[in-house]
Amino acid sequence: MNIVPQRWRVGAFEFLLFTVLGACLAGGGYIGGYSEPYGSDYGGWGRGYHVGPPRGGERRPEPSSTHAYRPAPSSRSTPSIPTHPRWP
Amino acid sequence: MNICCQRARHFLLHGLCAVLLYATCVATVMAAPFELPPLVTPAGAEHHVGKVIWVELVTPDLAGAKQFYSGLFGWTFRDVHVGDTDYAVALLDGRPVAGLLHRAVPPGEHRQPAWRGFIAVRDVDATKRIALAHGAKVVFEPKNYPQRGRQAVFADPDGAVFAVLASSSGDPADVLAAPGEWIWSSLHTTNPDTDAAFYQTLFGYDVFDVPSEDGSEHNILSSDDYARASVNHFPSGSSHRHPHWLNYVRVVDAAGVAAKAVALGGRVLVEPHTDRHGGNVAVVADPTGAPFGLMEWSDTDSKKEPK
Repeated sequence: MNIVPQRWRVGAFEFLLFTVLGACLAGGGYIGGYSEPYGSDYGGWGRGYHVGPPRGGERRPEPSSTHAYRPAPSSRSTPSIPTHPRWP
Repeated sequence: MNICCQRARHFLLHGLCAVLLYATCVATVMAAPFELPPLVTPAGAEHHVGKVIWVELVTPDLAGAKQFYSGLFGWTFRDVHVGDTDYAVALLDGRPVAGLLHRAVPPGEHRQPAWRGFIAVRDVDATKRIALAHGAKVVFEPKNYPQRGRQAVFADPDGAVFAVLASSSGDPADVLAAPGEWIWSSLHTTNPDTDAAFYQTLFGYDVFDVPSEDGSEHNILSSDDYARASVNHFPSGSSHRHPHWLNYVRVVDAAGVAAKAVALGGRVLVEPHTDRHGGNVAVVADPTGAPFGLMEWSDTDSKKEPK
């Protein structure tokens, strides 16, 4: 006589349990936060300290073979940023 | 005895169900999906691995940041509040241009509010494996966000923090940034050579060494035949050297915007000066100290479109 309600209870219990576990695993909100050391020093950005993109087309000297990276061949000029307008 | 046991079981089961029901309600609220707008609307099939496609601020003062950046660039904001997270999507002419994440600074701790660039990848988990194999560390594990895609945050072998994003709506088209949009990124480090190699391994960049007047090493990272970022040795005069990325907003008048930043409570870290492209560059900090760059780029100065 009591079997059906008991199964229902057990089923409801399992549903709630898995819902909670699933919600915990899925997580909410946004992952992110502070990760940079405190303090900024931009001293020394004097004349000749260039950080921006080139205009493109500049010729380059023969790259040194002592770099840790694979340099682009000297036959290729340094590219610039995209300059197409968003809407023509 | 049996009746007692049955009643005890009955109460235990009911009690557990009540607790779980309550926990379900709480967890459902906490686990509501954090929905950010898609990067590209309508979704496209363009992918530009190695391009900075999203920039996000972590700040202890979201309201103050919104006021500052609204005054500076004319950004408007759409708030996203889920669980304990307050986030604002910055819009320019209706297009999402940046994210602002509120995080309180724990009492007694010095934390640096900062803008973080998200570099486009196709597979965040594969990027993670390669990054870890080459000396990087995980700052925030990969995670999916509905409509946005999958993202993660890493620190490169020298400690500079960067994020990667596999956008589920494709990557923004390669067009010239409008004033008020992000146009450029630069890495400042003690080891430009090995760092350029690290990022080349991760994103397949072409690396161009560029001549410099100051005698230090500067490289340009490119993908799809477009310059994406520069890698720069710290200037000789800097004393506090922690490697970091810096992102730049395109402006028409760097000096004017820098002055406006000061009037809005920010400060100038590097005075406007002419950079290699012929336009002015400046570095400013918002009222909480988050640094970012200002960069002029005149359409008429564009010389040559790379093939």
